[in-house]
Amino acid sequence: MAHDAHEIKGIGIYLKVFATLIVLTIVTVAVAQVNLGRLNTLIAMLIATAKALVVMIWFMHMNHESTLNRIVFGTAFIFALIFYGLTFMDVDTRINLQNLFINK
Amino acid sequence: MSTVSSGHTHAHHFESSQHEHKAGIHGVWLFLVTEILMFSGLFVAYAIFKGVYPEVFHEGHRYLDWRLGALNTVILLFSSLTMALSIHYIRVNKPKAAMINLLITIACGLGFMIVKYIEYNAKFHHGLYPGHFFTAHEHIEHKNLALFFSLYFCMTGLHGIHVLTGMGLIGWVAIRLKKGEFGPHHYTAVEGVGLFWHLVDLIWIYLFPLLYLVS
Repeated sequence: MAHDAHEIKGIGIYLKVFATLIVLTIVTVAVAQVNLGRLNTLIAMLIATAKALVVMIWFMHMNHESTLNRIVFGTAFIFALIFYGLTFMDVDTRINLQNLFINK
Repeated sequence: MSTVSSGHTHAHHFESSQHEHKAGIHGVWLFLVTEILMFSGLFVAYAIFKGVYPEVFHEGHRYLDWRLGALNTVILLFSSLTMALSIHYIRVNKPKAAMINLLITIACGLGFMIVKYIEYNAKFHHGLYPGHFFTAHEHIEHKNLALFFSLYFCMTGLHGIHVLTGMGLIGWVAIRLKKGEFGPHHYTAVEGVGLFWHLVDLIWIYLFPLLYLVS
C-alpha cells in the first residue's frame, strides 16, 4: 500500500516505550541525589542517551526507516562528535586555560 | 500542487504518492540534522564552560528546581506518546482518536510553556538574568554566575521556541485533519511534524540532566 512500509501493530509498544522512558527519568533523578563525583555526569549522559535511543527507535520509527534516512540522521551525530572532539582537543591542550577567560 | 481530500493525488513531479511521501520525510530528516547541529553549538559551549568553571555551574543549578524540570520531562515524554499515537490512529483510519491525541499533544506543549514561564519568572524576580543583564550580584558566591544563566536561558529559550513552533505545526496538521486531508495512506505532514516534535523531546532529554541535575 501507499506508505505502509511497515505493518501496523497495536498501541502496546508505544505504552511500553513511554513506561520505559518514565522509569529511566526516575533513575536519572535518583542517581543525581547520590554524590558520585565525576561519575554523576557520565551516568546522567548514559541514561539520557538510552532514552534518546528509545525515542529514536520506537517513537521516530527508526526501526522501520530507510537505510538512507538512518545514514542521514547518523551523520548529525558524527558531525556533532567531530565538533566536540576537535573543540576539546583544542581546549584541553592549552596549558593556561584559566588565563584565557577574564573575570574568574 | 497536489489535490487533497478523499481523492488524494500526488504532485506531478513525483512518480507516485509513495515517492512523494518518501521525499517529504527525507527532507524532514535532513532538517532534523541541521537542528541537532544548531543545538550542538550550545552543548559544546556548555561543556567547555562547565569544564573551566565547574563551581559556577554547581551554584547555578541550585537556583533551578529539579522538580519543575522533572515535571516538564514527564509532560514532554507524555506528549511524545500522544504524538506517536495520533499517527497510529490516522494509519488505522480513526481520525477522531487521532484528533484527540493531537489536541492532548498541544495541551502538553502549553503545560510545558506554563511551567517554563513560572521558572523564568522566579529567575527574573531574583535578578538572575543572562549576561550583562544579570543584577543579582549581592547574594551570590561566584562573581560570574551570569555565565550559567546565559547558557540556561539560551538553551532553554531556543528549546522553548521549538516547543512553540511544534505546537503551531501540530495545530496546523490538526486543522488539516479536521478538513479530512489525511487518511491511512496519506499522512506525510503529520509524520513530519511528529518527527520534529520527537526531536524537541530528544533535546530536552539532554537539557534536563545537564541543567537541573549537575553536581
